[in-house]
Amino acid sequence: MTDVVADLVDVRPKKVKTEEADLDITPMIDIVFLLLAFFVMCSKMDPSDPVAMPKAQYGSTIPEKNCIVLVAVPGPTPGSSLIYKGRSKDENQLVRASDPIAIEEEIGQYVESEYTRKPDAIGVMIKGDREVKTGVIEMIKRGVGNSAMAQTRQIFIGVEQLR
Amino acid sequence: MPPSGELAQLPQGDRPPLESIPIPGTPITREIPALRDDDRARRMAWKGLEEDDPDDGDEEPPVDFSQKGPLPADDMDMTPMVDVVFLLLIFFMVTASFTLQQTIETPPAMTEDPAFTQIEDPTEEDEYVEVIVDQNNSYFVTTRSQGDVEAPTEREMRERIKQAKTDFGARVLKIRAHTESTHGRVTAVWDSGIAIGMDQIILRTTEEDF
Repeated sequence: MTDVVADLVDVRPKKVKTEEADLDITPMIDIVFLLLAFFVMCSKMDPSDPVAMPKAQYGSTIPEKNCIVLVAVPGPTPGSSLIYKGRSKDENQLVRASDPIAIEEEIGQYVESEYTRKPDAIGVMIKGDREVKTGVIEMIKRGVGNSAMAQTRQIFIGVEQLR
Repeated sequence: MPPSGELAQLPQGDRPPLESIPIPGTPITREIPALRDDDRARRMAWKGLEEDDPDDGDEEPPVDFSQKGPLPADDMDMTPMVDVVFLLLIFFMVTASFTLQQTIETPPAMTEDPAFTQIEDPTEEDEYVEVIVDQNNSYFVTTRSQGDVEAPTEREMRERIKQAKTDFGARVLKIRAHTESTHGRVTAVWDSGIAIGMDQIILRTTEEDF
């Protein structure tokens, strides 16, 4: 009689449930991490890089954080350019001056103040878009030359590795 | 067969230990299954689990409860996951702290007044090759044998510089770029000079049209 009651109550499903909770999630985690690693490797390392720099085969590799960075990109109107004092296209870091002499002075002051702040910086890095005019890059170089501290240090022209 | 003798009349709660029960006239082997059944029923009541079927329960070995239940689910091995997480952490730390940039190194900036800049004439010893990048981004390569030959493509420009180096031993690459030429085209000439192995690369810009 007790056996019949036990069969009717049927505690067995509970047993089955506890076995299902024992599901092995290790392969799922393996696959998830594999996918994560795949996307990390395939995605561009620095998507915030705003500049399409010229491609070069024989660039030398230097750490960007040891440099004072200036960015030059084409402006909204054809032939114009925007120069940023810093590595990002931040509106606050835009060179406001319009006259070439004033632009050079503004760049010179920025480089001088950055060298004072980071005396161990190895040089100035100009990250110029490949569509920017050569005259603009030369103007930045002259501006950098306005800083006395920059005259003993190298200027680096940022390039993209040509594959 | 039901259990017989003194054991059968004993109440459930205060049964004496198995060794102390006298079983008169009955072979002990016949009594043990009944005792085991009772014992198991009590254990099952304590565990709160169902009672086994008495028909086939005798032949099976006793159930070992210590190896079942929810324990294996909690016992998941985290070691591989932690391994992978730390690997990713190290990867991101390394890439974040060393953002490397490919660059072309140029000499320090010098302020010089263009009006007083003295341009030295090339001597015979200083064999050079000159590349002009004009306002339309066209290349013109000047060597000792040929002057101002247009190179329509970057590849051709590179080949001409290479030829000047092998044929005349040119060691200096002079780039004359119009200020309206694009940065990318001028950098390509500079890169070619490095690739070919020129000793010196000089960049000069001009506003005069070619």
